[in-house]
Amino acid sequence: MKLNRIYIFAISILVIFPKLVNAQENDFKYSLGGFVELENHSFFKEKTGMINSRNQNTVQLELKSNLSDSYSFFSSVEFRNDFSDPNRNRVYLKETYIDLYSPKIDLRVGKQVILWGKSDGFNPTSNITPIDYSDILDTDDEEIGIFALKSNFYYGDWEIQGVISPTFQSSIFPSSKSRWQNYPDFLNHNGISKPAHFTREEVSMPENKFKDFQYGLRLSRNFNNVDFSISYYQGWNDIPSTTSSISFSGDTINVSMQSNYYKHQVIGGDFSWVLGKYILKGEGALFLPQGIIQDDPYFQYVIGFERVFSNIIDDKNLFVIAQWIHEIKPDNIEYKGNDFNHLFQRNLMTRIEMDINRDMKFSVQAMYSLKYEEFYIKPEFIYNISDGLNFSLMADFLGGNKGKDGFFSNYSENNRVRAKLKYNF
Amino acid sequence: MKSLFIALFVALLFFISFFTQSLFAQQPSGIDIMKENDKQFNFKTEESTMTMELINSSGKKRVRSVKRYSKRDANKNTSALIRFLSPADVKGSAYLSIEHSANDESRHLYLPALKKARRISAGEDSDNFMGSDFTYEDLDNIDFDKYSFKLLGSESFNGIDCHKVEVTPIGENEKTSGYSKRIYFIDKKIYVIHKIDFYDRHNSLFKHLILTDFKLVSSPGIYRAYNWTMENLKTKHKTTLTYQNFKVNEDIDESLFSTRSLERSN
Repeated sequence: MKLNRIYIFAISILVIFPKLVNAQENDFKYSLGGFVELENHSFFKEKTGMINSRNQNTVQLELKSNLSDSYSFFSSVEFRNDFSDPNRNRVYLKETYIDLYSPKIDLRVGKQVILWGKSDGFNPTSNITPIDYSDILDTDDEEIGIFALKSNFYYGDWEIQGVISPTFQSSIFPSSKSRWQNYPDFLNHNGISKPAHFTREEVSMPENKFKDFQYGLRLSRNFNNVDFSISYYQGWNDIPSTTSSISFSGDTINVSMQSNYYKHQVIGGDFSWVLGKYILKGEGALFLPQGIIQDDPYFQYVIGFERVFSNIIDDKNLFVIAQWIHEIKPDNIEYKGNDFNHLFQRNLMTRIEMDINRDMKFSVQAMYSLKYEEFYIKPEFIYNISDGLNFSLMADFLGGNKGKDGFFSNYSENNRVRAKLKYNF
Repeated sequence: MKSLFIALFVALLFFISFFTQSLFAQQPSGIDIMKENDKQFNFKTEESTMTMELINSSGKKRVRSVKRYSKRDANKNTSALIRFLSPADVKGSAYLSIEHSANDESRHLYLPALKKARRISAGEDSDNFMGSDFTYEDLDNIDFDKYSFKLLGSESFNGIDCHKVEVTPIGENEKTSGYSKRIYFIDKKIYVIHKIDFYDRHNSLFKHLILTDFKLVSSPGIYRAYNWTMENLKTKHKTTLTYQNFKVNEDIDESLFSTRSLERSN
């Protein structure tokens, strides 16, 4: 009820504000923008007791001010109302920060999104900003701002970025009735299939004490044909490690799952290199977990290229990205296929995109796991109806070898179609 | 006798000089005319705000508003920063290109959703720029080593007496250019371009660009057209550029042409 009131208030602001904002925009002191997004997701197969669709409205308001050349302010507030899954309803301050500029140093203080890395879709070096995974396949613009101080120091072509965050913010995971929370009804025990009951223990969150502060440092430089950076992060992993214990009551197998947040250090690097008409991209990170049972270091990297093929049909171009994602770990360690920290162990990823005409675009994104023999394919059609108004129609297809117990094959019944209408103002 | 020879020699020199000057005044070469036109782009810095309209064959319009900053160094290498001001779905996006030498250019794109600058490839010269009817090749200044120039004669365009110059790609550029030739209509008085006809690789006329509303923006004699109309005669698609202002050779902070500036949200 409270959410609805706030939602109506937001809409009222949109209606009332344009005159005020337009008056102020003339001298470029303030600007109000944002978007309204209407979404429907429908799964092809229904599942009893689960949320089988999404019918969601989102309003995001963005207020920007640059009162001086030395400082500026930005704030964005999101109002989200999902008629099918109330767990996704929220009113929250996405980002609110003040920028301070000087000839050599830029400072940003407040709630902000900090993204590192140069590869596409998967960035092992980007560990500061958590993500809303409540819909695992829809993480575009789902970063969760963290409260931090970010400073950028510039020296010639070099840039040093330092980040310090005194608070911990976890990523968000699917609710118990989400189609992305997939617990089996039966488990095998000594070759006999028995009913299974899963429970999640309460997660203990890190305290916001001085010892829990998180730090990041990144050194980067742009050359004529190459951009590169090296980075270091020390802090909490916003994706917890999960262990489970089993007990029996009669024929039922009780599985108790315990998630623990833990600290880790991440040493990373990335580059983007122009080679003729190709851009070669690479990114890798060494993870050093601390304070958990399975604290062995592991290394994740992405290597790939992108290229625009010009004038394929008339004046239409084809844009192609292809990447190889790999995780290197000790031989005696085996991570589960649905472990969020280790989702991509030996994966090929590609994205191709082509303009149909000036208003329509078609793209296909695909991923294949060599380890789990599974796939994910997302075709998407985008129609730019008019300036600022876009319609997207897309689908998610998942599948593969179920016997391999991977991630995408586990959700092969979650094939769905998605439609989205977005108006930017 | 000696003074007679000197007088005859001076008269001969004067005659030769007068004859060649008047000959040149009547028949400048194509390259001379294009070089005169190129002086219009001898700027150190340039800043402009413009509105771009993309109009399809049924009259449907898309409107984009951009602010552009550019600078040229002593070697004529150009750097440019373009900020998108509207519509709302592209507002805040920015594009940076830095030319290091004739064949070496770095390009970065900033999209607000990505929150970081991204290096992009140079692509083809014949690619369309921002979905318009202009290609990157159309927006580049003429590199005199990559084209041949032929004066076709004189022709009046919109009541203005113009030189008509044929510009043809040569060497490696013959393979990469999107055109078999271009025909320029250049003002005989102030050497600005009033019209360009573009011929495709099969030598058919398929685009023309018309520039109007010239204003003096800097001394000595630097003019800019405030209205550009590029029309694709095959698709009937049209792009118009309407400039609100030009500032030429005014101070622009060097640091503007950096990824730091690209990532700044304002």
